[in-house]
Amino acid sequence: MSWNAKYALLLAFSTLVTWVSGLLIGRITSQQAESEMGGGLPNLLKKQLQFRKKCVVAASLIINLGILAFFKYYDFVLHNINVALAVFSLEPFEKPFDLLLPVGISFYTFQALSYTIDVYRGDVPAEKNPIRYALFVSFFPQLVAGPIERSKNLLRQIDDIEKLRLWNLDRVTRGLILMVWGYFLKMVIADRAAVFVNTIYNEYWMYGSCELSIATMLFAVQILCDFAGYSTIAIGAAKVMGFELMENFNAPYFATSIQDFWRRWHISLSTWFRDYLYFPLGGSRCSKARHYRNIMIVFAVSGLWHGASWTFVVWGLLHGAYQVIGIATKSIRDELWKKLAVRTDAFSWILGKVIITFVLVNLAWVFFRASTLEQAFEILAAILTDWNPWVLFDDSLFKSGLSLVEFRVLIIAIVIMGLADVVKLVKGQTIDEFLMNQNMWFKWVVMIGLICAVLVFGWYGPGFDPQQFIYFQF
Amino acid sequence: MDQGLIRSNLFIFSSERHVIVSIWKNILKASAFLILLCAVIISLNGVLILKNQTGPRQMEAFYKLPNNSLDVLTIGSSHVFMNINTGALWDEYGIAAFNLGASRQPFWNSYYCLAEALKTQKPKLVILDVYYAMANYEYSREAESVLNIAGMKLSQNRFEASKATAANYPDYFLGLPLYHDRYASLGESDFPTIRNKELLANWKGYVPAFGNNGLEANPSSSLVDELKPLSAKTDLYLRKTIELAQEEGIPILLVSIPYPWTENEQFKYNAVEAIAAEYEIPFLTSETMLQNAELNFVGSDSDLADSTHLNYQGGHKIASYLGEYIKQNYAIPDRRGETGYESWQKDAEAILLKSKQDIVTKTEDIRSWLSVVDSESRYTLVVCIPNLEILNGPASDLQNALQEDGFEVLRNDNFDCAIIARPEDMIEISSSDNCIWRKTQLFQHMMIEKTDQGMTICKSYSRYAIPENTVTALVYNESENTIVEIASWNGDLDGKKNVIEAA
Repeated sequence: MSWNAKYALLLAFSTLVTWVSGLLIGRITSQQAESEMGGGLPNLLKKQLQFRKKCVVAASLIINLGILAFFKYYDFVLHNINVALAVFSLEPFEKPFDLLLPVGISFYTFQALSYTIDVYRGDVPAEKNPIRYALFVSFFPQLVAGPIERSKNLLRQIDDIEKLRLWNLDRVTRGLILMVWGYFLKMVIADRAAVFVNTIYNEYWMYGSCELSIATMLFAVQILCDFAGYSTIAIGAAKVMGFELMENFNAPYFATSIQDFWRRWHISLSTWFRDYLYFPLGGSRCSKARHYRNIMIVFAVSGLWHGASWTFVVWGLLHGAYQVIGIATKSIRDELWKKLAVRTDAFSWILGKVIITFVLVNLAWVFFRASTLEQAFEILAAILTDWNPWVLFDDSLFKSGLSLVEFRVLIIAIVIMGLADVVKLVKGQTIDEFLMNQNMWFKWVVMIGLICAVLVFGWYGPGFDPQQFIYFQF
Repeated sequence: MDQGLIRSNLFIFSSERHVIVSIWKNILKASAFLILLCAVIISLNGVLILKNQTGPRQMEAFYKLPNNSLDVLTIGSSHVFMNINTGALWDEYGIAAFNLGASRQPFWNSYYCLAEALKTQKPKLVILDVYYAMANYEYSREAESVLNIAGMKLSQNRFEASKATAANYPDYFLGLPLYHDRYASLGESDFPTIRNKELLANWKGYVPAFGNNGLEANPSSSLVDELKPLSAKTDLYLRKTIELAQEEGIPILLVSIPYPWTENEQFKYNAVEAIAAEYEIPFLTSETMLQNAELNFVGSDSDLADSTHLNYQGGHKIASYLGEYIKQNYAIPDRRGETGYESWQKDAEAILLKSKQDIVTKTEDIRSWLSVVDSESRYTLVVCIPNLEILNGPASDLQNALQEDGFEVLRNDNFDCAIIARPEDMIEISSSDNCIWRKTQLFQHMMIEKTDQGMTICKSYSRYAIPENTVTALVYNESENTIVEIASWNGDLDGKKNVIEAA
């Protein structure tokens, strides 16, 4: 992952290709509409116009996905080809050049493609103003790590930019609250948890079940706070300027099933895959076998989108498998609970489902965090077999990068984040909405408290090694 | 006039007024929030800021001096704040001096220290120690650099000093990025209370050391004549410092306070001497000062505390010599007894008290030890006798002597032990309680208890076990809230002193 001025050309090229393709599709759509109004077209001409539209969309997809694939998957493909060649004792291909992944390429490519497809589907009109369109693709708060915005939402707001009230104290305050909350998640929780996670995962063979389990759970917290932190800062920064971005996380670790988890985790990406891959494949309105295949394809692609490595693919496939197994066994399970007279509306039942979902998600995170598949399997084996519960009672845990004081800070911060999630679940309000509905003194105490927590407990400055936002690399 | 038009104008007027009021309300709300936020951040900064006596505390204490009250300002590294006894300068010559030094202070930090000092003070003499003439790097280590900046107020000087000090100068300018992680090591002295103001007292920048590092021979490296030029940055800021003082019409004196310096270092000092000659300013070399201050680095009576710093005794000698030199060469008034200079008197007394600690710890014989402690009324002395047989036997003479000096004896027959202390330090405790003696004032919690396990002195979370069949004495410095020493002698009182450490 890298920032390089030359890579801005890629962004400009992507923008140009999708903008031109949008214009071309729009023109063909207008021709189709005009002809319909003029009494209809001969079937052959209709088909020709439709074919031209498809060609433009296909060209846009091929060019944009081609660039993404080249920068992101070239090394991965070459490595796998060489592994295959080695099996047959053949000479491997030499790497002709080194590639650095341009920052945010996965995000802006998907955002630009969603526009092309939306124009093709007639969901949005083609944007004629290239400056406004370029602003949509390169909208700086969410450019490098999302949320992946839809043209229906963001482009419309950019089109209405004249109506924007620049200074609206309530809106600016809400935006600033979100930004501070995002920094809190990133700097106080994610970067602190990362120290422990990195210590344990970098020398995983040194540790037993307890350290590896805690490190995996803390990685779950780290990746949520890292990514949700960035998204919240982006949403907040956009709000300060008067733009509303879509919500990207909704208390995902309170999900009661894997399906529910994906409704709450990286919502902008999940809905992208749903709208532009899962539905076109046939979604669930097809045979069971095809439905299951569609789920597995979507999650395998989602895994690959996260990184060019088999660990990400396995992570995606695991999530796909969880869902397929969940759907396939649903009726049997429902029947079983009925026969056993289990109260499925009780708190304990919901809590159990939340815990099981969290465990399954964590199991998959092992593959996400591990460097190789072998490492992931070794870690899982150690978690299951190498029991060492005494480390919870002696000082061993505090010798792995985080002292007792740092652990205390981390746990208190995680509890605060949990409280915000509970508010979200119970009242359906994000932290800015919740605080704006409170008395001024409470709002001020919370805001000042959060700012001071970031300043004091934030992992920054020369004494610290701040982690980069994990999701920048995707 | 048309009623409708009036109503419409009134409506426009009232809605405009409403908008203006709303804007003002918002501005006021935002301003109040920002003021409150700044106040909280400043308070947090006060807790987290480094409070080392190696730079930050000097600067903080300097800002508290009354404007234009300072006569002699010394700047430089630890060779300034550990080697120049400002208390002795006051006691012997009435010189109002301040050591504005910081650890490993290179000339670029000395320059900005001087610039900052001149904002509130107009000293009659600036003394610059040139130990860091040998600095040949662009930036010092972070741990030392931060000590040179942290105490400065947010100002253009601090900004410029930060830029000269480190590549990541915004961190230094703001300060918090460098020391916000101190939350993990905060102590009592970090929290601003009335008590802490005394705990954090700074004696006009002087930090005495009480070690003893005897060498085999005094150094003689000044015999070399060769000159090695200073690094470009060091040279530049030495000249800037001299020029700044001269522009302000303040005489500047360069000194190299002696330590076991090497030949290589002497090459640099020769370069400093050449620069001093160029500006026609005096330079007291290590050799000159070593001879004239009659310093001794050899044997058990060495004036060295460690490898490069003088001890209290050495610092006193340097102050005596420098005071004499200053009096002879500069028009520096004797400020003793003058209004506005009470703090110099108070700090000089505090330095003397601190020096007593050294005498106490070095004294072995119980009678001499008690005599040294007893002579200092600011010390709290409590003698613990864990066995009444000792009180009635070998310690009876001791008991009588102390009683003659106004001490009282608190016998506790239930616990078979006794306490001897001054009447104001005595407290009656119920005999059913394990507590034999206690001192519980604001921020001070000390207790002596006796249980089946024996007698124990407790101070906050520290526990000191008093050995059986001994006479054990506790000496406590109230102004610093520290235990000076807990010493124990066997029951015969003719043995060697045993210092009790916390369990």
